Formats: sequence, structure tokens, C-alpha cells
Amino acid sequence: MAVLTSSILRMDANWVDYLLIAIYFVFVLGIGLSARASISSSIDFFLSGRSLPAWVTGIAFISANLGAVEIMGMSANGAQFGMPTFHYYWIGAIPAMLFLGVVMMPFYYGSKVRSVPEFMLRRFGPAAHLVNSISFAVAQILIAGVNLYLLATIVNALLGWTIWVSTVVAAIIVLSYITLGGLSAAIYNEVLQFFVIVAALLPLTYLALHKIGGWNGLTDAMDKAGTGEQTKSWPGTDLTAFSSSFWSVVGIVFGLGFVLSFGYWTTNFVEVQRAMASKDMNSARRAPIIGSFPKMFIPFIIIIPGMLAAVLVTPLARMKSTGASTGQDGITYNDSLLLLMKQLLPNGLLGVAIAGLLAAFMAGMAANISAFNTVTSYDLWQTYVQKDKPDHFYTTFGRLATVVATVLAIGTSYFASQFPNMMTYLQTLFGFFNAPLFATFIFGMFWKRMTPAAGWTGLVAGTAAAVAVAFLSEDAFGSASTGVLSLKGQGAAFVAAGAAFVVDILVSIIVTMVTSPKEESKLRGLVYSLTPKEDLFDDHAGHWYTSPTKLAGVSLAMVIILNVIFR
Amino acid sequence: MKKISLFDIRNIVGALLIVYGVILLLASFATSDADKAKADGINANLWVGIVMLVVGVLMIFWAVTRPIVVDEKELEADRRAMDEAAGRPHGEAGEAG
Repeated sequence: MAVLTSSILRMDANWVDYLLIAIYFVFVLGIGLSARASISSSIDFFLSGRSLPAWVTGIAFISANLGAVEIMGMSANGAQFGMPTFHYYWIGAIPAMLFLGVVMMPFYYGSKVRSVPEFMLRRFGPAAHLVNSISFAVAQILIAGVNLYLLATIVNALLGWTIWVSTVVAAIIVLSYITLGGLSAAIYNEVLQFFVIVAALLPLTYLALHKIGGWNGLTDAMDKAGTGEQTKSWPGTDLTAFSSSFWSVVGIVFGLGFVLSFGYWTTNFVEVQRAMASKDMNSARRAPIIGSFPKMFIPFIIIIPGMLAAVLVTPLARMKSTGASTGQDGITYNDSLLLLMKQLLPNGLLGVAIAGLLAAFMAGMAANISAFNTVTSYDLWQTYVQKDKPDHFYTTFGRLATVVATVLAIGTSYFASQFPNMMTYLQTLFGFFNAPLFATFIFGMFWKRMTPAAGWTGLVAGTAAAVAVAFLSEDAFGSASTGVLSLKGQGAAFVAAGAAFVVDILVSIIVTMVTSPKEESKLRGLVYSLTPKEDLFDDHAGHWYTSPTKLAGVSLAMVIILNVIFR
Repeated sequence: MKKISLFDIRNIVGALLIVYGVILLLASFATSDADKAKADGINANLWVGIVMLVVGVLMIFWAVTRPIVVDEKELEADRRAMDEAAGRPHGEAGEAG
């Protein structure tokens, strides 16, 4: 990351851009403050969810995820690996969202569980709850670091301050956003953010495609640059870094698709809670399914600009052709989108784009910090350390946790900055945290005999397996990795996630054999076979578009067609 | 009592898009030739400004023609349910967060 004011990353923003950014913040903080002060009972009304229309929860559902991770990570991946990045959507996210809506949501909504640790507590008891709460808190801090680092790169690009100063300034911005009530109207912000980001990225993609001569221009340019195979999504050997095409496909389908994406979307409660704000089971199930329709087209305005940047932005193209991980002025693939914006967008539109990115990263980090805060104050401190304090004690504790979390995130943003492609780092983290969680979740949900002891031992063993694979790989931990296994990049993350899943399941089976299960009466609503079937199928829908399963069928058909067209 | 809300999310999205649309339209007249050249001669601010303005107006039009009516009674019942679920005495909902 560059630190010089004369860096090629420096944006030439003028007062119109700053005005647009300022207006955005006035809107967001204005809504937050009105919600906090209960100025309008109707805000409560919308937030309590009773009248949230399905399209709003659908947009909020994908927008909670349309943050730093997605915008910068996926465009970096597009720049580095091209079309195979689409698998994160069409093999990964979309099927996983449909699975969430059709299979998982009835459990969440029906059992009134409001967080993953809460599900763990009720299904497996305190040990699994403790393990999961700690791992969740650590994951939030690490991911907050990613958001903070990316937020700092924007501040750096905008104002030209060093990355260190930019990080501290970005952390202060996030803290004030939380303090001023920015999160109290999260759904409003997410919907606003969605429109602003689309309004910036859609013209960016159009302008870049226009410049290069359309889709054919892009494929010609990539052929000429010697990266023509990246215009095809299979077998994606660049993405996985596997030498065998067969294993690359297996890695993508099982590692990326099944374990990582299903794990991410079904256990990520920042998103799941958006769906649970719905007024009834049917709407809760439809939220991720409705979200899947815009979601399947989002890669066109995120990954394609990344691919275009790798051709249009000369320093990036030079860096790619030499295979280096950093280029002129220390740029990396993470900077693809910023460089393309700088090259194409006029002042005005540039401000819209920057406002959207700032908003997304800030809201993303604030959501991580607040999730950390909830888990440490209530799931950890109140449950295991100081039980019977008055409410205000935990509120004060939570405020302190927010500040501590922000300071810790400054530290973890340093780790994040060491990765030239943010997506690789994130998928490695998801392998540690989400993959074992998903295994335990899904196994505990369908196998009623699975015991409380199996719950926590499976989680610990799964995470340990993923960390072990990362250590044995060539680069998952940078120079700390030993290189015993010839795995690198995202392929290493897929294998680590797969290992976590398999080890978690094996350990759970073995431990279940030698320990005693929970009483069946306590598992109602938490295990598939012990949940009344009428709770699961709320399909008394008048139209096909109000039926979750039929709507999911349409979405699935569309995503299969997209997979075939862009194979 | 029932009332129609200014805080309908469509009004808020619509208002932001209209403000942005107008600013981009104004900026489009001042877009330098150098800026236009960056985008292959397309005056991007002009086109995006027009689209944002139209979408913003449609959002507000939608909110006005198909309003969501806030039912104070239902709201009160919701709050009561939230309080019960959280085990709080009624009247404190929303302050704990």
C-alpha cells in the first residue's frame, strides 16, 4: 500500500465529490439519530419488521454482505483470476442462499434463536456455546480488521495520508458512527447503500466496457495479454492453484461451494438477522430467496470491473504480466477498483462511488464491532464471568468492549494489509471459523443422537484441522507456513475448509459413540426429525412468487442458465 | 390512530437519489473536457444524473400512490411482544440496544 501523496492511487476529488459524500453522511446519521430519539414511531414500525416489504428485507439481506469483503475482495479476485471468481456467486452464494431459505430458515425462525451461540447453547449446552462464542468473537475482530484496512485505503486514496494515520482516522470515523447511532437503523442504511453502490458501479462497468470495445474487446485484450483462459470459468486452475483440472473442479464444488459458501450463508447471523426481521415465517424464508435474484447479477458490476482493471490500468496490467504481487507505488490487486475509478470516473460520479464504498466499509466494520460487543458482554462475560450484575453494568461493559474492539481491529488490520489479495485472506479465515461451525450445525440439526460433548470437540478439532492445513501450506500464513503441502492461495483455503468439515464430522461421530445424548424433549425445534412438519412447510401461498420453494426453483433455474452461458 | 410516514424507506431512498441526481446534472455542465476524455467522450455525470433523478422520482411516486399505513395499535402490540420476549417491563423496548 502506497504512502506517498504523489502515489498513483491518489484520487483527484474536488468539492463536488466531498459535497456528495457529506450529503450521504447527513442522511445516514440523520436516520440513525431520529431512530435513536424515537422521533417517529414509524421508524420503530419499520424496524420492528411488521411492515417491512419483502423486497426491503431481500435488499437488506444482500446489502449487509455487500461490503468491503465483497466489493474489494471480489474485484481483486476478478483482476487476478478472471471468470472463475464467478463461482463464488453461482456455485457458492446463490445455492447457499436458496438452501438457507428453503431448509435452514424454518429452524431459525421457528426456534426463535437469535444468534449462532444461542443455537449452540440450546442444542449442545454450555461447552459448545463457550467454544463457539470465543471463536466468533475472534473472527469478528479479524474481519473488522479487513474492513478497517480497506476503509483506510480509501481515506489514503482520498486524502493522501499515510496508511497508518489513515487507519487511525478510519477507526475514529467508525467509532463516531457507532456512537452517533449509525447502527440503530441498519436496515435503512443498507438499502440506501445498495442503491448508491449500484449507481456507482453500473456506470463504472459500462464506461470500462465501452472503452475496451465490449465483451469481445475484453476477451481479445486478455488473449493478447496471455490470460485468455481466465475468460472461462472452468476448471479455474488459476483460482485454486491446483495443477490438476479434476481436483480444481472438486475443490471449487466441495471446498468453495459446499463447505465455505453454505457455511458462510447459513451461519452468518449478520445476514440471517435481516431475514428474521420479517413479519412471518413465509417472509423470512423468502428474504434470502428474493435477495438471490439481484445477487446473481452483482458479479457483473464487481468482478467484470476487476477483470477490466487488470487490462485497462497499465501498472496493474504490467504487474499481472510479470506475476508479481505488488506493482508501481506498492499497488496490489486490492486496489483494482480504486484505480479503475480514478481512471474513468469524472468528478461527481467519483464522489458517489467514494460515498458508497466508505458507507459500505464503515457499516461493515460497525456490524463486526457490534457483534463482538454483544457476544463478549452477554454470551461470554454475563454467562461465564460476572453473572448477576445490574443491566447498566453490561451496557457500560459493552461500550468499553466497543472501544477495545476498535483498538484490536487496528492491530488485525495490519495482518490484513499483508495479503495482496484480500479474498485469499478472508477465505482462509472462513475456513477456520465457518467451516467447522457449519459441519456441527448441519450435523446436529439432522442427527438427534449427536451429543453435547461431540458438539464442542467437533468444533475444536475442525478449527485445529483448518489451522494445521494453513500451517502446512505454502503461503496461507505468509512466511510462517512451512510448505509441506504444495497448496497455495485460495486452493489452500478450500482444502483447509474441506479438512475442517471432514475432521469435525469424524470427531463428532466418534465422541457421540462414547458419550450420552440430550433428552429428546429438549431438542424440539432444534433437530429436523423432532420438529413438527407444519413448522417446516409454510407453503399456503396464493401465487408462485409467494411460495418460497417455487421462487427458489425459479432462482435455481436462472443461476444454472448463467452457469451454462458463462462456463 | 393511523398515519402515513415520511420515514417510509422509499421516500428516503428517493430523496437521496433526487439530491444526487440534481447535483450530478449540475456537475455535468461543468465536466471538463479532460474528464470527458477519461470516459471516452461520454458525459457520465449527465446520464447517471438523469437516471438517478428518474429512479428517485419513481420511488417517491410509488410511496405516495401505495403508502404503507402505520398502525399505531399494531405497533404498540409489537412493542409489547418485544418487551415480553426480552423479559422487560413494558415501555423500555428499544432503549437497551
